[in-house]
Formats: sequence, C-alpha cells, structure tokens
Amino acid sequence: MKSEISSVGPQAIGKKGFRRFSETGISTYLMLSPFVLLFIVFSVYPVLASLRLSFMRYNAICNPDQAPCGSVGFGNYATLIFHDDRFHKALSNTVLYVIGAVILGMIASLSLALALQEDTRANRILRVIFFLPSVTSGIAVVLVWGWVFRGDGVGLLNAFLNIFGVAPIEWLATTWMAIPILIFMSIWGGAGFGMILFLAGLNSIPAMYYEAAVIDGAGPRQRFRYITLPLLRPVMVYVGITGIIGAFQIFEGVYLLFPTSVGSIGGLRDMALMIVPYLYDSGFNKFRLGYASAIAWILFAIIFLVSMINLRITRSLEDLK
Amino acid sequence: MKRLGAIAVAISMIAGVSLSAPANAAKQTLTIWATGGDADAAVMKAAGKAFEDANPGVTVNVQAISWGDGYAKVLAAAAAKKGPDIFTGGLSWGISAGNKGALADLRTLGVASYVQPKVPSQIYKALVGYKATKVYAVPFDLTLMMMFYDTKTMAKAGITAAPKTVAEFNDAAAKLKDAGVATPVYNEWGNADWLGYFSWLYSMGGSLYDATCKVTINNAKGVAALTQYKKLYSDFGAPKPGVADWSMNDNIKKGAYGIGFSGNFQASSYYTYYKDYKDWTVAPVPAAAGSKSVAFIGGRGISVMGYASKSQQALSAKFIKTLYDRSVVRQMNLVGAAQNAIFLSPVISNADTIDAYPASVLKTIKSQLADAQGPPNCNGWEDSQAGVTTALQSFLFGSASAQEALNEAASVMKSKL
Repeated sequence: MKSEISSVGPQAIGKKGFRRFSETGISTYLMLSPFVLLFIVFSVYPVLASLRLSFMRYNAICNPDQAPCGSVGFGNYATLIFHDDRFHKALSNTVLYVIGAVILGMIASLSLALALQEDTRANRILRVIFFLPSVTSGIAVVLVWGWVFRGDGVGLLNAFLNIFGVAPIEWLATTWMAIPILIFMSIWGGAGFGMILFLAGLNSIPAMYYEAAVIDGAGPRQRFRYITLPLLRPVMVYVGITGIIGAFQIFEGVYLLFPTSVGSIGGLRDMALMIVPYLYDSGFNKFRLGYASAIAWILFAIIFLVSMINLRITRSLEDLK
Repeated sequence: MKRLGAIAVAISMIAGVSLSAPANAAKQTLTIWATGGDADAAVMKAAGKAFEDANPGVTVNVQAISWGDGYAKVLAAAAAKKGPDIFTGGLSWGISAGNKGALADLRTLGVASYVQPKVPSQIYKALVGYKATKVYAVPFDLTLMMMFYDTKTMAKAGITAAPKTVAEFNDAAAKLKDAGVATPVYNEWGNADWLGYFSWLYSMGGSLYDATCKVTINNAKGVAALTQYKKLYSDFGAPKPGVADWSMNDNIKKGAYGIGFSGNFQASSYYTYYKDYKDWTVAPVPAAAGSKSVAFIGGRGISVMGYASKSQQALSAKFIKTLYDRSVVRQMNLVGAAQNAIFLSPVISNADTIDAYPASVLKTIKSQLADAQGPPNCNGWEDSQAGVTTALQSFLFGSASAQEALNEAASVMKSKL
C-alpha cells in the first residue's frame, strides 16, 4: 500500500481538492474505517478479552481483578483437560459428530452433484429442492425434526412405522441414537449447499480431459478416480474445512431436540452434549465466563489444528502428484 | 406592560415547575421481573395493583421472564446494573446470584425477619445458604410434588385407596399395568433427574446432604430409593424424557396414564381446562414403611437487586412484605384462578384463599406442605445438579449399579462443596 501511495504521489503533486485527496489513498482508509472500527470493537476486542478471561475466574458481576474473581493462571484449562468429565464427554461426542457429519456430508454432496450435473430442466428443479434446506431457518428445521422424531405414537416417524406394525421407538431418548440423528439432520440440511460448490467445481473441469480419457479407453470409474477427484481437490478442501468448522460449532440441534433436564443440557446421560452447548451452559446459564472462555479457546485450538492438518495432508498429496 | 406580562408568565412557569417538583420526586416506579409466563406476571400485577392503591404515587411495573433463561437475564441485569428492582425465580437462584454479588441482603432490609416466622422452616432454609450471614431471597410461592390419579381408573384396576407406602405403590402400579393401562406411571416433573428422585429419596429416609452439608446421597437409604425409582421405568412403563405425550392431565382423564407425579400447577390446569371433570384427585407421594411422606417443594423465591438505590430497595422491601398478607394473596388467587396460575403462598394458612381447588386437594396440599423439603442450601448444589442427574441416569438407563451411580453423584457433589 505504501509503494502504491508513493507511486501516485508525484503525479498527485499539483492536483488539488478531492482528486488529490482521493489519489493519495487517504480516502481508501477513510472509507474502510467504519468497517475497521466495527471490526475492532465487535470482533478483535471481544476475542482478546475472552483470551484474558480464560485465565480468570469471572462471573460478569464481580470485579475481574478482585476476589472471588481474579486470575487462576492455567487453572481453567487444567480443569477442563484433566478433571472435567462432562467436557471430555462433550469433546468425544463432538469429534464423533464431526467425523460423521463431514465425511458423510461430503459424500452426499458429491453424489448429488454428480447425479445432477447434467444441465436439464428436471435437474435444475431438483438442485433448487436440494438447496432449499440450506436457506431455511435452522431453528425451524430443528423443531420440525423434533416433531418427526418424537418418541411416542404421535411422532411422524413412529406414526409411519406404525403402519407396518412397528412399535414406537424412543428416538430422542435412546443414547446411541443421538449422534446418528444429529449427523442425519446435518447431512439433510447441508448436502444441498455442498452440492452447489461441487457442481461449480465439476463444471470448471475442462471436457477435453474426459474426451482424451475416453479415447485412451478409461471407463467411468477411472475417469472419476484420475480426473474428477484430483481436479476437485480445491473444492473438497474448502468444503471439508468449512464443514469441520461448522460441525464443531453445532448448537441448535442439541439445544432444542434433547430436552434440558433440571440444571443440565445435552439430553439423557449427556448423550448429545457437544462443546458449544456446554460452553453456552457454562457461560450463559452458570455465568462461569472465565471457564466458558477457556472452552472457546480450546475449541479454537482444535479447529485450527484440524484445519492445518487437513491443509497439510492435501498439500502433501499435491506434492506426491 | 408587555415586558411585565412576560416576566409574570416566566415567574409563574418557574413557580409551577418548582411547585410540581416535589410531587414528581414522590413518584416511584417499582420494576419487577416475574419468572414464568404472562399469567404469572398477571398474578404479580394483582399484588402490584394492591400496592399501588395503598401507596399513591407508586407505580408497579411487572414484566414476565421465561424460566429457561430467567436466571441468565437476572445475572446479565446485575452485570449491566440495569433492570428490575425485584425479581422472582428458582429457589436456588437467590443463593447462587447472591454469592456472586448481584443481590441485596434482605436481613438489612428487614424482610428476612418479617418473613421467616410466617413460613415453614424447611422452606425458608432452602433459600438461605448454609452458614450464610446474608439472606438474598425469601419464598414467594410454592410448587409441591404430588401424586395425581383418576379415581375411576384406579377402581377399574381394583385399587380402592391411594397408595401410602412404597409397597402399596408398587402393588397399585402392577395392578394398573395388569388392567391394561397404557402408561401405569408417569413422571411429569423432574423426569429421570435429581428432582424426580428427590421425593423418593426423602420419603425413604434418605437425603442429599445431612444438616452439616456432608454428602449422604450414597448411603444405603439412597441406594434403596434409587432402586425403587428405577422400577418406575423398568417395571411400570414410565416414559423416558422426550418420549411421552405432553399432556399428563389429558392422559389421566382418558385413562391412558395411571399415576402421574407432578407439581400442584397441574391441579391449577385441571381447574382451568377440565372444569367438568371431577374424577381426578391427588395424594401425597408414597413413603417407606415407618417414614413420613416428604415431597419435593419447589417454587420461586423473591429477591431485591443489589444495584437498586437505597430508596428503591426500601420500597422493594415494603412491597415484598405485602405478599404475605392474606388479602393480597386472595387478590392474586382471584386473578390466577382465571389464568391457570394459582398462587400457592408459602404461608400455609393462606392456601385457604384458593377457591379453585376441591377441598380434598387443598387438604392434601396443606398436609404435604408440613413435611415437604426444598432443594438443599449447601454450597455447590446448583453446580452439582447436572452431574448428579447424569450419574443417576447411568443406573436408570445404563449399566452402572445403584451404588456406583450414587458414588459418582456423591463425588460430583463433594467436588463442588
């Protein structure tokens, strides 16, 4: 930016008024300043403040520097990592959910993209239908799923199964079903968005590669394995990383579908307890803001680490090629 | 002349302002956050109206806040030092928010000494921290765990009287099951969590903590109570949380549910929505042979915010004292009866002001209140609840033994003391 300003500097000499002001680049900073100011106040400052809070005991009412609040050093982190069984449960549930939701979600998205790649009228309509859940209110969708998975005879799924003589299933009260149900909901809601990204990627692959492969005798599987997949890698990395970040932040499904018992969150035996609902519970139900901040920073570290590993692996694959 | 006129007008205006100033200063507004629904706010407004009538110049502004995020809202108000002068909320909120520095000490405001002799000691105790030197909340209203049933459904199953002992209860539940009642037992309030277990624990002679806040949940009586509590799910078909139909009352009326455990708010619901239905009734929760029936008592406490000015706190204290007055309680119940929000005052004799309940129900409520227990007032209980519930569920729906589950619960409770 500096060189840009200095390069226009000599030409600006002799020019007056707004034109000079504009060409020296000051106007750029002025126009950016409303956003920068808001960004600093509402993003940078809270993030740094939460980092400070993560080393403190703080409940929003007490003075952060005086008892009963005050610095606890790495105490919050140590408690979370070594002693908090509910956090460990939330972490293991979240990891299971992320693995399931991201991998199966990408497979579903790519499958839809491949199935609807051809530009026909029917496919265009189907693409819109599959994309609709992505633009529907998340809370409304979760509430509808709650109706579908209700455990008594009134639940839509149970009512349907009842036609075939199947007894009502306690979908939301059976511990092993919680995470698969959340994964299923995630795929239903997100596959359409992934499909659009994969479609863009598929359409950007030059047709001549496929034509050459056909001439060389490559079958559909070989074309997919050696042309489509490698050339879709940038899209896959993007979908994968954004999917991982989104999956780690799951909240509404847990909060709304798995009833909060007295003083708890996450359903029966914490079957659906995830990191962000636990963070919310600690921070905004119990007002342990220091502790909740430490959870947030651990979550950030995990997402950062997983994203770096993902990028490194895909780069290594690129090098191998 | 014109100038003189202008001066006269100016002087009269200034005089008018200065004369009206004392009248403005005398006006005070009391802002109350009533946890619950709009009906609960309407009940509080009835008390506010009575207070306004008795105190000209005072306006009482009542706003409803939901149970779900009420506690968070109160703490957020305390953090921002802006919000209500008074709030009602969960019985344990006072201890928890008070220890965080959010609330005024009701002893110094003269409220604690006024209320304490009027309400049962076990209820008052639940709102005051163990060995606490300050009182942050006093009981506002009560919610009592009771056993609801339909007399005809019971008669069809060959049960002629409400079960009083645990053994009689098991026998009755088995008979209801044999008679084809779809859901012989239903836990509506505190389903599969510490609250649902509480009444069984105390009615079988156990406790969460002893009088010195030593953890006692995992003794032999606790194990016996948890084993009995599990029978509700394993033997008598009590639905797990998130499974059953929402309307307990409707299902009891239809004969689909046999015995339902819930709070007296369901009695209010029967009065409001099933006026012609006369076969429902209530009974105290069953007790072990030789033990008293000790129901869990919840409800709401009432507190004054710490950031309120001295004059607002004094006015708040004056208002809170009126809530124990029989005539005010009667006004509140007249409003509550019409809106499914009957107000059960912590002053037991005030229960007589509830015209809406049948005499037999009122009698059960009054007798049960004498032996009810509120949540523990020991340090860390608020933060232990989730861990205790998870531990209990590891036995109720998992592979842990009752002793292992309770040892885990005890470990959580000890770690928070």
